[in-house]
Amino acid sequence: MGYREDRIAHTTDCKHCTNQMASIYAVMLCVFILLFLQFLMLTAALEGYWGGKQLFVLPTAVASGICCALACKLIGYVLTPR
Amino acid sequence: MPDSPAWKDDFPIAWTDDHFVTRREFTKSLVLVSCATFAANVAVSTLGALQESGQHRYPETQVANTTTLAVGGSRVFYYPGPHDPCLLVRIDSESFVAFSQSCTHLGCPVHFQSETRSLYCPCHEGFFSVEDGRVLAGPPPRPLARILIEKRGQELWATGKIG
Repeated sequence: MGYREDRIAHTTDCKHCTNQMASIYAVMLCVFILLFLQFLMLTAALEGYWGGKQLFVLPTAVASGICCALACKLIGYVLTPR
Repeated sequence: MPDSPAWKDDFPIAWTDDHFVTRREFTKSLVLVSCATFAANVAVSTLGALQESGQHRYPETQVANTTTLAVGGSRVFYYPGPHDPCLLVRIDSESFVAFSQSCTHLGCPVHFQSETRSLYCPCHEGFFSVEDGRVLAGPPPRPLARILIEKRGQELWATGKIG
């Protein structure tokens, strides 16, 4: 068995790697969802701003901030060496 | 002698970890986009707050004289800048209203129709109420921006803009 095949076998068998992979995919999905929500917030904020409905603008900024903080927390979880 | 060979500085990622890193980097860039979106949202919010707190002041400009505008008549003036056309309408002997002339759909100029008492955009058949500028029909998504009009004796002054 060559080096490459050996490594592939190692990766396939590696339980730790599988868990890591699953957690990265889960985080990526969560960040995607958060980003989608943030785009919705930005759209609503722009609509409120141009339409003169200032009532919507501040809450959307707060909600966007919460989404951003969550995304940062999630990426911190993935990047922290364990 | 250093612990690791020099080539490891250029290729610090082990082959087995390579696919994790690319996903991590991608997720990291998603988070950066998330931060940028939040920054844009804060910017919009700040602009809105500045406008609402009145720091964005409009000039006071005389736009017409009550004696020169008949009931049911309209005239174009420019407010707040020389490139912002607005429409002043005399609804009855005492009521004057003014709106931005730019349709909120695609920016075509709106015109006053006295027979339907509405502001009409000929580009895509948009209709706005002459009383408050709200959309009555057609594709415009928002009401027309309203110009605040103040009557000072015989003179009509534009004092602000809403929307």
